[in-house]
Amino acid sequence: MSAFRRPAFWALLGLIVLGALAPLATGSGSLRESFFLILMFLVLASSLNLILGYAGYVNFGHIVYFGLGSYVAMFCITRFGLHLIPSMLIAAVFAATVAFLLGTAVLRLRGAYFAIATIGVNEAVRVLVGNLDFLGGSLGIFLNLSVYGAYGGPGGALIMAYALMVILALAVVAASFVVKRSKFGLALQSIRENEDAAQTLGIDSPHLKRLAYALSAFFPALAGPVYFFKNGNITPDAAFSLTTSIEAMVQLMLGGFGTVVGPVIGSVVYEQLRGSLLTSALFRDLHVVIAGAVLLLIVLFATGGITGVLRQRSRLLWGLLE
Amino acid sequence: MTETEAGALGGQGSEIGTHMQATLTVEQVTKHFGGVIALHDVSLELRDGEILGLIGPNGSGKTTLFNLISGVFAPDRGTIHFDGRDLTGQPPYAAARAGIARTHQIVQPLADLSVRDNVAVGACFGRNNRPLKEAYPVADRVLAEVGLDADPHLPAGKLNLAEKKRLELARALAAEPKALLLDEVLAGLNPTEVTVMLGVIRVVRDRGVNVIIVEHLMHAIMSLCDRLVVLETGRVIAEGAPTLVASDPQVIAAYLGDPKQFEDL
Repeated sequence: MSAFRRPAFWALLGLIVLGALAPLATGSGSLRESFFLILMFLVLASSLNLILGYAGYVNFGHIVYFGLGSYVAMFCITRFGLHLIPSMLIAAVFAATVAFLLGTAVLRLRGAYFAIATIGVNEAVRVLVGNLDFLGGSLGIFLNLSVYGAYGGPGGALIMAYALMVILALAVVAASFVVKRSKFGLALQSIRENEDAAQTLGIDSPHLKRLAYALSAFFPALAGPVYFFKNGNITPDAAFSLTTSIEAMVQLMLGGFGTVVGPVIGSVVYEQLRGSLLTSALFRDLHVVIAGAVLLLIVLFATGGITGVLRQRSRLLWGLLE
Repeated sequence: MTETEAGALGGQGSEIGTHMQATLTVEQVTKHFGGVIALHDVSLELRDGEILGLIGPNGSGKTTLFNLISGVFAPDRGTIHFDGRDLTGQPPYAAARAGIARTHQIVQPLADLSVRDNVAVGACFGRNNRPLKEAYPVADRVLAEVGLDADPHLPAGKLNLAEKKRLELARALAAEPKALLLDEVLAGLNPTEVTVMLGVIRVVRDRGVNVIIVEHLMHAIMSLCDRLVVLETGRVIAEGAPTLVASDPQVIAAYLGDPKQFEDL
């Protein structure tokens, strides 16, 4: 039953690597940029899947850990002159710890109450960070161009950021697989299906939920630093953007929550859709509206998203697309 | 609680401790829901190797008592001990880990998970806390035992009611419990299915699992149970061997209403 012995596991990871190599092979900078974004959203949507898809806790404020992690890492880089990679790890451990502690409280709420609380947490942290002078207040933190010297200049830093994002995407998909096929994953899915029954069956749901929540906070806190490092600056509005959070959720729902491949499919399809919307004169400013409409349609008519529709078609696909 | 009350309860506790055959001891539990007294001063013990029937009219507190024992609610007063452990006010997963498994009157399948996964959850998180690898063989064995092994990969939500009832039982059995609380597992089953289910329950008892069963099907209760406890409006009104309880005028008046029902037995 181990994830590593399943062909689907290696096939999916192989596909991601192949896709990620394409822009490097062609040398196209714009293709690399759009793939970078797809991979980042893949990390966001997949990690959101751990708490939303597996445990069934609808989290609108997932982006708070992306933002928190980014701020911690940017602070480590500018204040202590740390390398990006150790800064990322510090950020991820910090975010996961915050999530674990916060989860103890907010995961007592269920359904819509939890969803609203997550928005509240994100907004509160955004305002708090915007008022902390050592984090640059509302202007945020800027990276001096000289910082990139240690990474072989801005060009080298771009390639490294891309490589890191590929690794993170692979890591989050691997983690999704492993968790899904584990006893922990079975417990989370039981909680999603019926938390009261799960408890009666012996599942310590308060503890396992907050572990899932901490794990889901770990990955965005790794991806955020890469994104803002590449960007060169971070502001509270960019780091704690509710729009980004909801876009990640739309991708997850579009692809199919609760499955490993769902968020992968969702992030690719959504980014393609968004790309064409952004370049069309008519819909340029409406892409978020359309994302909302897509979310509504999925929730109403195809709860399982693309993966769900495919899985219902055949028993074979049911087994393959987990 | 005053000091004298605490002393009195402590005294009774040690007295109960001398009844070694009791694995589950419910001591004077009271539970209110707002102004409604669901259970008042209810005591009960489940002894080794017995099937205990819990009967009473609708709303008499049977399911509430199950909910207290399995930790869904904490009692307002009173204590619950199981297998030498104090389970009073402990969460449901603590009761499950201690070896108490239950079924639900209103079936609670994990709808999107397969039948096999549903039962594996019981094995994984029940008394023996089995790893996933061991849980599936246990699940397969139990599924065969309750006759649900036709399509173990079907999502549990697609089962019919009788099958969902059997799934409830299978999940509880997979936990390899020491005490099994069965909440109307026979309701909605046809006579053949009832006979099969009764057979399964007897086999389980013979394997050393103590059973409390809540059931309205009187002929099943009378043939299955070693002892009956009768609840009415949250109080125990009778207790004892099935034939004795059934002829108790208070029970007949309160619960059965029509004494003729027992002339056939």
